Amino acid sequence: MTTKRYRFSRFFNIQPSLFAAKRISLVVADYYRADRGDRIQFRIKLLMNAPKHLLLPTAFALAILCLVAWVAARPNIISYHSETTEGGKDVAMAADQVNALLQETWTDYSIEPAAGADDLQVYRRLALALVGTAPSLEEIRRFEADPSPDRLQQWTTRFISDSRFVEYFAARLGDAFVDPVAEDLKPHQRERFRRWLGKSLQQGTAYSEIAREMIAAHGVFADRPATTFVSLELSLGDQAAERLAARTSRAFLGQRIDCAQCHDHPFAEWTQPQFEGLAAYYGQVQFRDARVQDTHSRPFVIEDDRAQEERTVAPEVPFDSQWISDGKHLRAQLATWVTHTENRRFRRAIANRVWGLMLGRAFITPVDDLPDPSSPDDPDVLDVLATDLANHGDDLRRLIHVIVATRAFNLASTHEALEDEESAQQHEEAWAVFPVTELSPQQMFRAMQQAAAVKTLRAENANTFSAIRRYEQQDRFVNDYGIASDAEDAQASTIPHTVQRLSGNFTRQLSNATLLTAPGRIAVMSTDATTCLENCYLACLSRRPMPDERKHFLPQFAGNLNRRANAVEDVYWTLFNSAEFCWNH
Amino acid sequence: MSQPPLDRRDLLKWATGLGMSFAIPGLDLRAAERRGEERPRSLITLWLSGGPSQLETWDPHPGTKIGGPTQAIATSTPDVKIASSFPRLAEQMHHLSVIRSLVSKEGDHERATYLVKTGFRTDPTLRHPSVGAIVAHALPNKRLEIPPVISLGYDNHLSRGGFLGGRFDALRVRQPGSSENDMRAWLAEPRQQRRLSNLDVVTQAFTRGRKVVVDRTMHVQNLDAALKMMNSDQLKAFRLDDEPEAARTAYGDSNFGLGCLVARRLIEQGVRAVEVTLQNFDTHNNNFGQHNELATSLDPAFAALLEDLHERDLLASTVVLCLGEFGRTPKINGANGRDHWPAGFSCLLGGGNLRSGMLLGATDPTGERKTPEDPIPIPDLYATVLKGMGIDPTHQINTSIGRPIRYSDGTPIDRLLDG
Repeated sequence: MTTKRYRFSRFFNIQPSLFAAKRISLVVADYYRADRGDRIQFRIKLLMNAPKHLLLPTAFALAILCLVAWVAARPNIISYHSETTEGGKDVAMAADQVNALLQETWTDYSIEPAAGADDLQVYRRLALALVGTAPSLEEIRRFEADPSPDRLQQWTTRFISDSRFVEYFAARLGDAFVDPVAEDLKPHQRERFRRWLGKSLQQGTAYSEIAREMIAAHGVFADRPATTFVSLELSLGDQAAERLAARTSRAFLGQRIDCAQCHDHPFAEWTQPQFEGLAAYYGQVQFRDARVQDTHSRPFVIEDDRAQEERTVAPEVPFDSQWISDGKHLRAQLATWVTHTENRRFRRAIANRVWGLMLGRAFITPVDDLPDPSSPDDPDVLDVLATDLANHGDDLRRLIHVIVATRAFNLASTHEALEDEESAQQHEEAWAVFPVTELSPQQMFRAMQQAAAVKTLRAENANTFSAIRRYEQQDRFVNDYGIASDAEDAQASTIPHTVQRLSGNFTRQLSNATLLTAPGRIAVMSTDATTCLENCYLACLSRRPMPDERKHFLPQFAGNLNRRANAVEDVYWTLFNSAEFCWNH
Repeated sequence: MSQPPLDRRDLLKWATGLGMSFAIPGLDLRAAERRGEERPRSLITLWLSGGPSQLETWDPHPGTKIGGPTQAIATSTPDVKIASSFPRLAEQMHHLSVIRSLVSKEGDHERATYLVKTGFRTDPTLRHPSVGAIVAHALPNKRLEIPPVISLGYDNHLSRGGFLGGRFDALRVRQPGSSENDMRAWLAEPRQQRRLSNLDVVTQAFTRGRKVVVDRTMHVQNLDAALKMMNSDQLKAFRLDDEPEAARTAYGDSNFGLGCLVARRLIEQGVRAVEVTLQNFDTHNNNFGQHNELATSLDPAFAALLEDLHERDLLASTVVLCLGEFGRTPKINGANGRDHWPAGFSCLLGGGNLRSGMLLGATDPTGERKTPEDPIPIPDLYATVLKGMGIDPTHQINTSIGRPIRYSDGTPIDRLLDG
């Protein structure tokens, strides 16, 4: 019974709303007790009309409710594979290969990498990258209490299994495949797609499998969320095949073959016929009756602007056509080619994207315009990661673990070379220092909200109302701060944004010391001023104050509780507005 | 209503600007210095989001199969008739010119909005700046303490700075004139000071060992600029408490009307580009009812804005442009609505160096011919608007991807430009 209720409550937070319904019914009962005369009259009415007016609809509503609850409670069983135990040593070996390549660069340029970063700092990076927020005070306590030497690895596994991983990491990665602000994309479809992607990653579904599903799946999105990749472009009308070819090569191969749509690519070897051949693979797919489906025997016809005539184009891949194997339809054939084990571009592209999500800066930017891979005898970091990925069932969890174990992820973001622009640039380019990058709007929102709560904020811990409120707040915040689709060029550091952080309602609400917010609780619960200040720092910046900060702040905490609460509010405001909070480091 | 007390600063301002202020009553002194053509230009865009129907606005075809129930009325420009739901605007039409033959190839809201807000089609390699951002870039205003590009109203596609940078992103104010978006500093001075000195300490700690990187974030400069803005006198352009009730009434007490009023106040402060959005023009069903409803907001606001700009001698320095991402089909669909139509739609423009009283292009009254007479692509419209503001549209910007890009790729329409 307990398990059932637990599962029940996790889904759509039905339990709190049931409680609410119960409460309402009690109130109604009270009401009728008070007005006895009315009640009797009402009962008579009820009895007379009950069969057709009340009982049926009630029964119907109940039936629907039961049905929804049953459906919602069903597929909630995910087994999380624990990776740390089986793969710890193996991960280290892969990471060492990356480290060796990095070391080579450092030696070549005779640069000294930065010192190792503090564990708590790495922990903050990890949380920001995987669950999209700074760690909660609660999590920091648990992390610090954990004596095991491989705690970062364990937490990596834990964060990947976290529901926030689906909300954040899968959403960011998913944006590469499905444009989140496309006009025709309904929010619930977008969420469905992200959830599918997130759950697939959490279950360790091979990335090649995930890509195949996106390229070749057919059906309706509710059943096969991956079809959104195809259906979104199809619903936009003209030139869908061309757009799909472009998106496929950008998203999965990190190549801008679509420049060849109008002219041959100026740098790479792509030509217009190559692009058209690729597009022809999407020539048979259609979006009809809300289903993505393929019509065989439909030729792919292109309108030639110059010749003013139509031509039929046969499907053809731009290179290595021997990777193509038979498939039910053209898209399935294309999928085998894209995800083929020897297609280095495919795994290099995803390694680059995940590197970018983990370190804030992709190994090569822009992520969709990678140079051609160099000779296989001269592998670079992306090759090492790609090979390792292929050897481990294309499991992206594995890739994340390897990246987390590399030195690049664990170096400090401080270095004496950062006193001078030129040497700074050199060290940054060689990954000899952890890059300082701006938090994305989502990270910013989530980190601020998390800092204002002592406990870890997860959707399954919130009730429906606070979840909706949070969703709305986030939507508005992210919208004001920058557009989700171009996270790379969305800037949170413009002046209006700064004003918003300095005096906006959001900051004001979150830094307010009440009994419900972390600032209030920290002010009340901390035993002395030093602990109080320390807690503020841990909650916001995941570190303890430095001596000069301590010296500056502590006098502000003197006096009664009221003054202390004010001081906490001031510290929170200060830290929210600090570069250290707004930039990953 | 009592007068707000004067502080020392106000008093000084009054003393120094006395003569001027009497010449032009009711205006802020700092912005009132220059009027007429000498004033640097500003752009006000009235953005009709969703795609307004040309047939229910500036290009009615009453009595035809495609015209629907919409009637036309004569305006202060001879030979130009507009839909009868715009009686007040009809009296101000001599300030404007009409283009009835805008053409584009984008029939999807998102892509069309991108084109009509930037003058360029979407390009996966870079994001183009909005026309407002281009204007702000071309005509910098050093004295401005608030953002140079401002968007008023519910705008789903925020105008961005694109490759010109985030500082040209529009500042969005959803409910113009309301206190909700009050950007003034709200804390008591000593506490605010304490917080700022706290911030110095934390910044110092973070800068240790990261000097170059922290400098690059521009965090400190942004904070300074933000604080300057929060304490700026110019912020009062956002508030309407000193506007007479009559002004609010004239503009129509709608969110859009208040937006137009705030827009006028903002350009008086030297804001370069203000966009006021009126949404819900996507009338796939109930096209006529919906357009009539929207006209009750658009007509008074637009008319009052023109009148006001003219009276204050600001029209010669302000280009006003009214358009949406596309027009709507001549064919009336089964739901009594009209669908997307980028082939032949209308806009109104005037002010600045633009010639008024002109009528360009014509659409087919039978709705059968798709291409209008004298088709004008969107880039040409913006080359004209920029030229009308004294900006050279061929000026090139070096983008970060190494490709130089012009302010506009269009050709200015000489007929719309003075001399």
